[in-house]
Parts: sequence; structure tokens; C-alpha cells
Amino acid sequence: MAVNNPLHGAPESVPLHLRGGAGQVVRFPVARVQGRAPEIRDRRPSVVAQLRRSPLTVVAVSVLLTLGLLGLAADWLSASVFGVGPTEQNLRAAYARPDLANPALWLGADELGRSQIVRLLYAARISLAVGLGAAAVNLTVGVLLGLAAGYYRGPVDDALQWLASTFRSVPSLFLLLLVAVLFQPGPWVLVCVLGLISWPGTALFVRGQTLSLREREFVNAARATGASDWRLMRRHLLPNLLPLVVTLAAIDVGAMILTESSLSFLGLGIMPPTASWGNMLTNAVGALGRAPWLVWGPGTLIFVTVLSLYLLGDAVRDAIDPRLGAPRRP
Amino acid sequence: MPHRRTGPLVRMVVILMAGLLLIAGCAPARNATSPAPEASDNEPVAGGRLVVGAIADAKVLNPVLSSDVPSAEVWGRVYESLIKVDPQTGAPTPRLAERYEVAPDGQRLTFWLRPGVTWSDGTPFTGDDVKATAEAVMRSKKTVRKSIFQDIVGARAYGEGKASTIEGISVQDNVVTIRLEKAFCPAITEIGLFGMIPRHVFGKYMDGQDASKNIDEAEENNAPTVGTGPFIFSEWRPNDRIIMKKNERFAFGGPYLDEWVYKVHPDTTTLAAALKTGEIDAARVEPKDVEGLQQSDHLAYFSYLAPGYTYIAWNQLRGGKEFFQNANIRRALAHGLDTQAVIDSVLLGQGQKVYAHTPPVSWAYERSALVEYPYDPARARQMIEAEGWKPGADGIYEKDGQRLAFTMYTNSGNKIRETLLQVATEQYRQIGVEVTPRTEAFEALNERVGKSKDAVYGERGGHDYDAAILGWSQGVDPDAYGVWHSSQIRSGQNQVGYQNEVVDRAVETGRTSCAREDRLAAYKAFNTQLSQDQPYNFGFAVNTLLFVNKKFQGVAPGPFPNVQNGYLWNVEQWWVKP
Amino acid sequence: MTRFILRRLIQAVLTLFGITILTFTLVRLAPGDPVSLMVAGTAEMTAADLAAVRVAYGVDEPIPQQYLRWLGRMLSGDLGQSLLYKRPVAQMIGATLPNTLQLSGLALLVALLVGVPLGTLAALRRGSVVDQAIRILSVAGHAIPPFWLGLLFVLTFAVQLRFFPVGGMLTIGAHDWDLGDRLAHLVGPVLTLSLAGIANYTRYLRTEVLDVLAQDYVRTARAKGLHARTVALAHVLRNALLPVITALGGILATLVSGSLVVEHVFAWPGMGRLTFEAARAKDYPVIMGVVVLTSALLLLSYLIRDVVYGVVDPRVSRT
Repeated sequence: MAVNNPLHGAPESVPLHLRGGAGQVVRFPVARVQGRAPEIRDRRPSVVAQLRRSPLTVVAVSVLLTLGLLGLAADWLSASVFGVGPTEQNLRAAYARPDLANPALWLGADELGRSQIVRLLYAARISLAVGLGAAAVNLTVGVLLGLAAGYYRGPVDDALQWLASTFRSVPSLFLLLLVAVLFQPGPWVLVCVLGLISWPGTALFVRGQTLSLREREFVNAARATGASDWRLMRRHLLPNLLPLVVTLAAIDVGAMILTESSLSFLGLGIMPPTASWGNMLTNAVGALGRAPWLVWGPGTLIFVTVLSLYLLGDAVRDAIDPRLGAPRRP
Repeated sequence: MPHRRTGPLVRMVVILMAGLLLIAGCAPARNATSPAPEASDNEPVAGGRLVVGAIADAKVLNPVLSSDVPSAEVWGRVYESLIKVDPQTGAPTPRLAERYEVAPDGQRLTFWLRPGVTWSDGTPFTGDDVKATAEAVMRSKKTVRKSIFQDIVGARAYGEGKASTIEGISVQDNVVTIRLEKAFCPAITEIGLFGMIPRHVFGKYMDGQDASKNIDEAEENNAPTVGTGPFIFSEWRPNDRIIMKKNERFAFGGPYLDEWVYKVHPDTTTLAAALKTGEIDAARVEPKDVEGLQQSDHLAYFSYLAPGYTYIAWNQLRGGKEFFQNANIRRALAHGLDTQAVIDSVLLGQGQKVYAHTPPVSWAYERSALVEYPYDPARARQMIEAEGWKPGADGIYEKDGQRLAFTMYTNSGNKIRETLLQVATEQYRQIGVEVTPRTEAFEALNERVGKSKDAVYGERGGHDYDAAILGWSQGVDPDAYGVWHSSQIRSGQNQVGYQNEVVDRAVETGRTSCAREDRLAAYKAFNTQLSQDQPYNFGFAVNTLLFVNKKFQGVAPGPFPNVQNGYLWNVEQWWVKP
Repeated sequence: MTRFILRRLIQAVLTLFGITILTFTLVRLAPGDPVSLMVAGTAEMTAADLAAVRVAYGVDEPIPQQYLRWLGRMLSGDLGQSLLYKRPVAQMIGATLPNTLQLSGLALLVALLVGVPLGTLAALRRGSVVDQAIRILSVAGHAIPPFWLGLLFVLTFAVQLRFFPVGGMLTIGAHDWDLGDRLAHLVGPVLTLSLAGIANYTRYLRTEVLDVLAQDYVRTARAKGLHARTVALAHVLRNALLPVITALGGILATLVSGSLVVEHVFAWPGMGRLTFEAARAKDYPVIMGVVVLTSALLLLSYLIRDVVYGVVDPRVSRT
């Protein structure tokens, strides 16, 4: 069971630790640089090729794509296939059981006779959008600030460190709760607030990676040719950070979806009649005595989506770091 | 590769986990165990424990400072009041006072106290305790109950420190006489139903001369040491349970039960689950839980109408929505909402339509003169068009460049109201009225509807909302001054800015002419006018749905809970059938 | 090292102040007012009475003044009185804090006891079915919404099967020291709360162990002919556990903030529920009290962790 180290090249740098908000410690190794000089070819297959090899990852990606497409097509689907909208009530059909004959009732109806399946589709859109939006905010802020701090170092770095550590000293979920309860924010504000909760972790991690990357030969070489800071960051550092950022993103979106659904469960977050998986689940729990089947739809979808996202993130990370994946023959 | 056995660490962990689960699993969910009482057919037997479930914890165990229902439910077991009311009719019955009298001019109340009543520590209950209660309220800075006592002669002066006692309350042996500055018909029920606190416990926090001293910080507010009620306080674990034990010196017969526990649950689902498993013995539930709980053999089900109703308020002092000032539009809106459908499908039948303010269970209610607005979308459209509105391109009515569109609010977390909001949005759209639904936290909504100012009518008392779904819970007395009198628009609860002379006079008469016939006539006129004018869409009243473990005998709930009694009004007579 | 600690301490105190100002402003700025909530629906109050109540609760002054007043009292040890419950904030926190600690502490313990061995196992059997299964299970553990899991637990094991109680800490009438009863009440919430922790530690340990296994000294030990199991336990675990221990410092704070959702589902009377209710009712003394406590603990835990880490790994103390 020899440990593989098929690559020759620069020695590995010290792995840096990322500390998440809940004391979670996630470990990421340094990215491998590919194609440094034309003669030395990287024998390891590309990330995408590796991902394609694992059936689990393929399934995860397909699930996500399907859900995404369904969510985007929700309007068209509700008009042509199901015939009802997500907020159309039909009090006579309250708590209707799932009925295969009527497409709108494939998954039954809730307490107002609204089609569960149509609402799930629209909820997919909202939940995914909120998750993606929040992750986007988080990553944008985190990557930009982390990159700047890692690249420029000095006072910029010190400022970021101080800012990040202050933010992290705030019990973030607690503040999120407070803000949600006190201000009852709409979906856009919610997205921003969610995104701003975890940026320090992202920023510090990106900073760490940038710090090590900037010492690489290819960076020095580029600088020697007179490339501007911006060009360096954009063309050399960012692409190497990308795979790790993708991993972070996948996990982030998953975490945001979970947070949003927890908030909705507590009666905060996305408010009805707008459907989100979280508030549909709360609704279903309230109706357990009358319509127990309502619980399965939103709960399973949240679970499956987040699971797929986490699996994807894991798979990307394993593809980048050879030590974590399955052992390969040298 | 040589076969590896699972490491010792892993083994240890597995064994530990199994052990833990085993121990935990072997301690089955226990129901409240209480010593089994002796058998005998219909003779009450002593012993047993009652566990009552609720979804909110009590806040303070003192009638002077409490302002919420859970607190009242708990301190109601500890502090008795001068009178009680019959749960079915609302008629006063004796308690601490065995007899009372209201002078014809409505300005003097006399209570004859029942002899032999003592506090749980043996100190006799006297008229001085009544006086102490009134004094505590008037000097308290944190109470919201001053209006109950402030009309007593000398009360205000005492509160401000200008007097060292309340002049208008005189105590002579067991007779307490209360003089009011002006006739106030609700006084008898308000003062009569107020929990009486002991002078010998709270007196030490007060000082006749010094108005800055009060009972607001007393620790007995959260841990009552003595009481006149059937149970005395034992322990309070915040957000978990309050434990009360039998008061041996209870003067009104009983209690048979040894212990009474108030248990808090975070929401109605866990509450219903706890009822099912028998972890709690009694609780009020929501309509959606009824069907599931009816399947449990061990639970008895009670459903009765409670005074109070859910309504849609039309803000008649709203800039830009002056169409709400037109009674015909309001009537059309009444025709446009299928309230019965909401009762049937959302309340699952557990409710009743309401047409005016006074609740159907009140003695002042008279159905005959009330106007009904049956669900009739065609008629609604007709009425709107008769006012000069024409349907626009999107189907919504328009007139002089204005659309018949408005925002409707309700508070989040109340399922019934949220659902009504969504139903109303849909149904109004079908009669050409565009409603934008919004839910807000109760606190924010409260502020919006009660405090914030409308841009145009703010000075006159207009608030910052178009329409809102809210609710009133009502007491025994039909007095409606605070909600409907025009003087209450600026600073009171008249949140829709409604002003009508007939109504004004009726509510004034109702609270100052205390003869029964006078009040009946006044409230008849009052309700008739309201149902004609539709300042609210008077929606529906929701039934109180109660489940109690069948083993408890003596349960007899009715619509007239005073706030502090509810279905526990006679808990001293409950006993456990073995 | 002392200067380092001192500097961090001062930083921490300043940050704490900043947090309290931020929270206070947030709470006071939000719409709604604790007093009007209390008054809602009650009989008429005159404007003068209402004003007097406002003064009594201290909500009439401008916000900066209110903050300074609160700060002054807090520094002298008085966290004030809850607006809603009219009892000292310290008392309320004192009543709920042990409950939350109990829950979170046990969840952490379970997470460690289960996660560490599982993660090590996965690393030692890298690539095998066992490894795959453990990895998938740990990801799944992260992905399940905790409230859903808790609810399913309550509905299946408590309501349907009656194995466990529906919620709360202790059955009514059971003795305080009835350990069996207490355990029965703890199973549901601890399992739900620890699931994410188990998933975390499994993944983390797996990574750490793999990392350590790759180190030269392990290969050296192997080459020397030491038995595989000895190598694993003696060297790998010891080195892999080191960062876990330092990470524990950061967990101190999460112990206190607990999990609101789990407390909600299982009716556990802890600080999470206390805070939620206080936020809803705009009970700002309680909110501030909880914020101060949580933030202080969080900062303290970061400090401890950084110190320990600095001692253990000298490369880090300079960052």
C-alpha cells in the first residue's frame, strides 16, 4: 500500500487549515500546477475526466442539473403539463391524496388545495436561487478580499485579518437569527445576509492559497516579464484557485440551502405564499395529522440536493488532491 | 493483504454506544405516574396529577403585572377573584365575595366577603387585600391594567403620590365599598374578576407616602408564596414546566388533585404528539390536529365557541385608498369573500360566521337585526360598478385613474390568518379587486396598525396600512368603547378610523347606563349599525378545541372563560377516576 | 508569548464591545417595541400611563443613552431584567445554560467517539467498500436537514413506537436524578445534534490520518518492520488527534449557542429557545445578555486555540 506521488515538480507546501464557523476543520491541499513547461506533461487525468469516472459523482451532477432545469422550466411545466400555478387554491381539494390520474395531484395537495408537485418545482427554483445567490455573495467577497490580501500582503493583509477575525467572533448564526426575526427580510436581503455570514472563512482560505501560490515559479516568471498585478491575479492565480473555489462553492450552496430551510422551518426566511422547500416542510409538518405524505416531497428534495452538492464538492476535491482519492498505480 | 481485525478503539466505541442505547431504550417513555387513587364509582377521590400543555410559557405570576394569557392561566390557580362567571352564560357567581351589589347610578360597588377564607398560610383574607391590590396596580410603573382601577375615587391621586391611600375604597369588617368617579358598567366584572393579591406579602414593597416604591421587582411576582386558589406555587423551570401543589387551606371545596403542572411545548405539532402519547393530560389544539387526536381512545374532546373573532380591517383613514371610506365598497367586499368556505376548509368546520362586534355567546347579542352578506361575487361586482368603477384591461376595477387595489397584512406564524389572507387574495381577484398579500411578525404588524402614521391622515389618527387581518379576543363584558368610539381613533384601539354618531352614543350608553335593558338596547343599536356599515369584514369566530384525558372527571368547559380561568375554572373539582 | 496573549486579549475585549454595540443597535432599530407588544389588545391605556410604562422599562431614551446605561450596568455585573419575564436576565441564562451545555456537550462527545474511529477506519481501509460507505454516510450526515431528522425521530420513535418521550428533559413526576429517564430524553436530541459532528470528524480524521500515513516517519516505522496496527495507533492517531484537540477550543463557543432547531423540535429548554423567544419579543436585555456571553466565550475559545496551536506548532504563532 505504497503512497503514490506520481508527480515530479515542486515540493508540496505546507497544507493550510480552514476553520469553518462551527469549529469544523476542513483540509485542503495546495493546488497542483499543470502544464508549467511544455515538455513536462502532467500524467494525471484532468479533473473533469476523473469526475466522469465515478458513478456517484455522475449521478450527483445529473440530479443537480435535472433539478435546475426543472426549476427553470417551472413556468412552462405548470402551464402545459399540470395546468395550475403554484398559488392557485382549490379549497375543495384541500389535503387531497396523491392521484395518478390528475397530473396536478401527482403528489397530492396542501391545506389550500394547491398542487404539491407544482409548488415543489417553483420551490426548487427559489431554494436553489437562494443557495446559489448566497454562495455567490460569499465567494465573491471572500475570493476578492482573500486574493487581495494574499497577493499584496502587508497592510492590506493585516486589515483583512482583523476584519475577518472580528466577523468571526460574532456568533454568526445567532446574528442571522436576530436579523431574520427582527427585520423579516425579503429574499434578496436574506441572500445577502446569508452570504455575508461565512465570507471570513472563504477569504482566509483563499488568502492562504494565494500566499503560497504567489511564490511559485510561474508567478515570478510572469512578474519578471512585467505583467501587472491585475494581470497576474487574473491570468495566473485565479485559474489555479478555481478548482478549489468550485469545491467551496458546491459545499457552500449546500450549506446555504440547509440554512435557508432551517430558517423557514422556524417561520423566518422565505414567507408563504412563495414556496420554498423549507416553508413547504413546515407546512407539511403542521398538516401531519391529516396529510402525512406531504412531508416527503420537500424533505427528500432538500436532502438529495444537498447530498449531491456535497458529493460533487468532495469529488472535485479528491480529483485535485491525489492523497485523498483512491490509490492509483504509479 | 493480511486480514485486519477491527481495532480495539472501534470495538470499545461500539460497545459503549450499544450500552447507551440499551440503557436509554430500557427506560421507556413514562407517563405521569401518580399514586393510584382508591376505587369507588362516582365519588370524587383524592389524589392524582394534572399536566396541562401549552405552547407559550407564563411570563409573570402576578395579576398586576401580567398581560398575556399563559400567565393568567397559571396565576389564576393561585389568586382567586371576588367573583367568577358561569362558563356557559357569563353570569357572575360568588367567589371571594359571596354577594355583591351595584348601585343604580353605577357609581358604587359593594362586595360582601365570604367569611372564613384564608390565604394558604392561614392569614385571613380581608377587604384590606382588595385595597392592597388596587393600590399595587395604581403605584406600579410596569402594569398595563391601570384602566381597571383608575376611575375609583382617589385612585389617580394615590398613584401620583398625592395621597397615602385610595380614598374611594372603604373596608368595614367584611364589606368592601368601592366608589367610582363616574358610572362605569364594566367595573363590576373588571374589578370583580381581577386576581386579589395579599397585603401581608406585597405590602412590604409599598409605602403610603412614597410613590416610587412598588411591587414591580418583587420576587414573589415569579414565585408566589401564598394564595387563595386551589393550588400553590412550587417550582418554575423556565420554558419547561411550572409545578403547583395542592392548597390544603382552599376555602371553596377540594381540590382533589395533588398536583397541577403547566408544561410548555414549542409548537402545536409536538403538543398534539404529547397529548397522543399521554405525556400531557389536557391542551387546546388547532383544527388541523383534531382528526388525528380524535382517534385516541383515552382523550375526551370538547369544542365550544369562545368570545372573540378574526376580521379584516379596512383602514378608512388611508391616503390613496379613500375607496374604503365608501360603505358600499365595503359591503361589496363582504359579498366577495366566501367566509363559509374558509370555515369549512381551513377551520375544518370549527368556527362560526360573525356579523358584528359582540360575540354570539354574549348576553348582549341579538341576531335578528344583523345584516348578513352571503357570498355573491356577481352582486359584489354589481355594487362596485354602481359606484362608478369600470374593469380595466387586467380585470381590476378602475375609476378616475385609480385602481381598486390595496395591500393586506397579517401576522406570520398564525396559520389561520395566513390562510385567510391567501384565500382573500384569490377571491378578491375574482371580483376585480387586486390584493397584495404581506405577512409580518406580530410585533411589526402591531406597530404598523397601532402606532405608525399614515402620510395623509396621520394627524387624524390614520395608521400605516391599507387592510389587515387581525383578531380580537373578548371578555365577559360587552363594552366596546376602546375599539369603536371615535375618541379612540388617535390613541386607542379604533385602528380603522371609524366614526359614527349612532355607534358613539351606543357605546357610551352601554358603559354608563348599567341597567340590563338599557345596555341591551344600546348594544343592539351598536351591532346593527356595525353590521350595516362593515367597517371591518367581520369574519368568523374560531372554536376552542380542547382535549382532556378521559380519566379526569368534572371537566366542564364553556365559552366564558375569564382569561385566567379558561377550561380550568373548576379545576378544584376535577378528580381522577381510577 | 505573554505579549501575544495580552495583545489578543485586548483585541478580544475591543471586539466584544463592537459586537455589543452592533447587536444593541440592531435590536433597537428593528420595528416593533416591547412595550406596545405588552399593551396590545388590553384595555385602554392613557397616553400618560403608556409613557410611564415606557420610562419604567427604559425604552424611552435615545438609543445611545440606552446603550450606555446597559453597558454601565453590565460592567458592574447586572445584566438587567427581562422585559418579558420581569426577572433577572442572569437568572434566566443561568437556568437554561446548563441544559444547553448538557445537550451540546454530549453531542460533541458522541461525535468524537463515533467520528474518530470511523474516520480512522476509513483512512486505514482507503479505497475499500468500507471506506466508500463511510464517506457516503458522512456526507449524507451533513446533508440531512437536522430539523427533519429530529421530527422523523419524534414521530417514529416517540409517537408511533413509544420508545422515547416526545420531548423535554425529564418526565413529569420523575426524580431529578433519575438517570434512566434523563437518558431517554437525551437520545433523540443528542443523536440529531451529533450527526453533523460525526460527519465532520469522520471526514476530518480520515484526511488527517491519510496525511500522517503519507509522512516519512510512518514509512520509516513500517520499513523497520513494526506491525501495521502498532504503527497506526501509536503514531498516526497521536499526530492526527493533535489538530483535533486544538480545534476543540473553537467548539467551546458552539456549545453555548447550541442548536436552536434541535431545541425547538425536542422542546429542550435551552438557551437557543430562550434567545429565539427574546428576539421575537424584542426583549433586548435578554438578547444582549446572551450575545455578551456567547461572544465572550467565542473569543475566549479562539484565544485558547491560537495559544495552544502556537505552542504546539511554532510556525503558526506568527501569522
